Amino acid sequence: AIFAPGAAAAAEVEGPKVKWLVSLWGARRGFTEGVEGLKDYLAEKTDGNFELSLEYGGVLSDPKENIDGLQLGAFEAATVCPFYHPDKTPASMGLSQAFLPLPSFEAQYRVYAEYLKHPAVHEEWDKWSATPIMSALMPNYEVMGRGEAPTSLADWEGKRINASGGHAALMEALGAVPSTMPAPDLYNSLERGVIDGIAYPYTYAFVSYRFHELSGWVTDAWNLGTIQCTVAANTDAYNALPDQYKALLEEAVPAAYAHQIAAYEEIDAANEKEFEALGLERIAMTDDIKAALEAAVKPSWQSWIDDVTSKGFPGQELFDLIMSEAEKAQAGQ
Amino acid sequence: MDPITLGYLGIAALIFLVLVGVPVAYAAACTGIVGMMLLRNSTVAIGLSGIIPYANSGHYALSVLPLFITIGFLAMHAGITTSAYDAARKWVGRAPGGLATATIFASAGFAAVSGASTASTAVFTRLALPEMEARGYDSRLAAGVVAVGGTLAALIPPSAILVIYGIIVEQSVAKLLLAGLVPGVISMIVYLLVITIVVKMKPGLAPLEPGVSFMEKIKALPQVSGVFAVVGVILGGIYLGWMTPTESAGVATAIILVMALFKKIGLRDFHAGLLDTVRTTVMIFMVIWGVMIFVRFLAFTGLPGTVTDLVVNLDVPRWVILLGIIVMYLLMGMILDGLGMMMLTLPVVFPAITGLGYDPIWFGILLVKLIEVGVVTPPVGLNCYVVNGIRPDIPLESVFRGVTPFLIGEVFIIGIIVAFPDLILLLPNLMN
Amino acid sequence: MRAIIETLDKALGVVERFAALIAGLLILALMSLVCAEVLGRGLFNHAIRGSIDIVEQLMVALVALGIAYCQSHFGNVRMTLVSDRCRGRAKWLSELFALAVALFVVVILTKGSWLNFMRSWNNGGDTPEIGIPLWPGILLVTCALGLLALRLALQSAEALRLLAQPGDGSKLFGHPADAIETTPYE
Ligand code: NA
Ligand code: NA
Repeated sequence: AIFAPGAAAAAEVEGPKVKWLVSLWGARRGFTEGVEGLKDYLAEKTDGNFELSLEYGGVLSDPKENIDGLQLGAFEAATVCPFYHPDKTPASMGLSQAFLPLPSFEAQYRVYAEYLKHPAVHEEWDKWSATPIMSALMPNYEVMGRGEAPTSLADWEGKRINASGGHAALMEALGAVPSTMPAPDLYNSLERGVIDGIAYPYTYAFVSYRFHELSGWVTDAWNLGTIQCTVAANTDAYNALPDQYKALLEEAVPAAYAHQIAAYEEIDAANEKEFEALGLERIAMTDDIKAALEAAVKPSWQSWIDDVTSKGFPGQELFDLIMSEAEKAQAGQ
Repeated sequence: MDPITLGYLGIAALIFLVLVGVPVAYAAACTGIVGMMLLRNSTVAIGLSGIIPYANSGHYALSVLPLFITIGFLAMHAGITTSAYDAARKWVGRAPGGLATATIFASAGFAAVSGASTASTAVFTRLALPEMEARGYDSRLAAGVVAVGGTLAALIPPSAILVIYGIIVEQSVAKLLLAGLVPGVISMIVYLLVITIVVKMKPGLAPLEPGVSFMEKIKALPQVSGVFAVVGVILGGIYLGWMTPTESAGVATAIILVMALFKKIGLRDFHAGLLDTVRTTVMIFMVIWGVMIFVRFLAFTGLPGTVTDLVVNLDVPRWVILLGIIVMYLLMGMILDGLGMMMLTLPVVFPAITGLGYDPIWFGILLVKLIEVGVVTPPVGLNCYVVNGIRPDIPLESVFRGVTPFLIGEVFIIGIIVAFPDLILLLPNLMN
Repeated sequence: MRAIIETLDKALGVVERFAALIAGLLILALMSLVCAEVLGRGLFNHAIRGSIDIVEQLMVALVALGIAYCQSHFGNVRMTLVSDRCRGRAKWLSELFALAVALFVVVILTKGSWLNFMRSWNNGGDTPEIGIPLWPGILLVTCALGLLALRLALQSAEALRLLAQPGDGSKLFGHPADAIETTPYE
């Protein structure tokens, strides 16, 4: 170190060398920037002693089995999306319900954090020997499509929209026909008119599959809700951390969110400029559309409440928690 | 032990197991399991590998594989193969090396309904080889033609191996299938040129065919409609975006099934064909399982990242590295089985290739071509083994000898693929 | 000894063949499902809900049901460069080694798959679109791996017997030759 003038003199947080393997899938993208931020923060404060080794490409596990890998202790941390396997963590699925009133990332992560603290949710992660650290944020869904722009409720009748889960129910409520295809097939289907539109996280998912090149319209801040994913650690690995690392991890989370949100904002700014240049028509939310969506989403929320209640969770209480926290989060802004 | 060293040892152990005759699937899984036991612990090794047989079978994109394989066997029973050969013979029989030329044409036609190169070779060893011999063709040339013609099946869609490549490296299967058509046709043309040149140099190898009347030629055409139906559905369905690759394969299977039923396929044949299809499907999936377990182990060692950094930062022009990779595959292809070879090397080679800025779709085509050269080169050339397996009276050496002139053609084809990536990407780019 | 092995072979063979035939029929079911999806979408503007979920579970079943049958016909690709050059005891020794490696792998996979089943049974898990529970598929895979382990154990026993009496014929190793021409994957 004597010959390396660039090296930090001493770490801000002293501690042993710890290396965590983190199981991720796909390539580095907006969705993974939160973990990237976490990794940078920890490395900086410990002078590289607390290292997160991010394993992209699903080499350690497919996304559907990340939570199994955590229970096995195969890796120390992973991103887990309950959406891929609802019944593995039914209570956490509450956060992935469609059309939750969480219009901003800040509102999302505040509500997610409070929710994950609830004892019933905690118990659920305990079953998998997993400890949630933070959420991997995903933007709200919008619908983008080509052909005649659906400016009124009646225009949605018969439109073929690729949507899954709760979003499929929302599309049905508008009179559209939902279907689900694998992501790589969507571009082609949209181009040849097999489908008229796609409900996806806005903006980045549309641009990564280049759907915007084909499209003529996009819904304007409908905030159809999104899916919640959790960055979780294996509980034994977490407990084995020295106290100063546990504290540091907690301290790193806000910085990691800030990093991810900044990354999304940068991506969105560039994308919005491109959408502007392409002349995408923005479809405003009308009152009757809003009413139709709300009418449709309530039964789907209720069916989640009934489902988890039958599994022994306090369904209504959990749902009310989401709603009250969402209200607080929005009021606080 | 240092994980990177353990990674290299794992690769060495795997090669050893494969060479002494352990099936590729088990060899890869065994190395991966033992490696994970050493690197983590046995709970992790057992738990992680135990998920794979379930998780890596239930995969939407891989569902084209059993369908592609079913199409191949039904096509044979629907008489499509025989009629394709008959039509090709009537149309091009008068050309130099006419029956050999017809065999290549018919192989290309069969390639359009078969996802697999050994199947294609097996069919034409039974169908075309005896006919060529009966007309006084040199048996080495005839054997070489059926062995090489079979390889067209891997490029011309549908192609099972391109699908597997697409899944492993997360690229669009639809684009890969479209990309295979042009190099498949180029390969066919080069094989025809090789036959013409060889026969011109030694006319004794292939006597001329008697002429056929024009009416007879026309009459032969409707019989090949089955081939066109399948090609039309698969390419058209994917290209027009009406269907996913799985869906177009499903529809093509249904069409061929109806045709086979019209030809009154027997229950016994049907039964045997189904069992064959299952066996082949399972064989592919077990290799996938084994390799996925091995990949988990490699990820724990950190080896792929290290190798990628090494290759990408080599201080040589990128074409030198590409040339090195091509030569490596040609050498490995001499002794290794193609599917296993591809899957075992991709986790390390693919990141390096994309790191160097090469197009992943284009590389898939190049890789499949290299693998297909491997199935006709000695000492381990699966297609040549198939010819020799069905016709033990033709020695393996003779089959390899018959393939030799085509290998010069293969070098030429590889050159075209490397030199003109735009030509390879023509169809997939049209899709956008 | 030989008689016992051959009786067991016959019994296992019946189960394997039956399972493989079901797998074959599942391929036809897969074909019908995707055709229905295309027709539904094209003609009636109505996609089948959860078709991806169904296709994935069908794939699990049709692969699992064929694995023991495939091994009974030595359908797994391998390099025979060395083993082809071995004769007599050396040949059966090399076969025994390959089978022992395979048996080790499959026993581990069976155990691991059983643990996977226990997790899905105790902790839950279902498919995203229409909520098909995961445990039946995982249980089927576990049983199929168990059947494959039995097949490999039987083949190992036969290889051991032939190691003792290399001159003896064998029904179990009778027809590996037909495996090569029907391995059409490339
Ligand atoms: Na083909
Ligand atoms: Na070879």
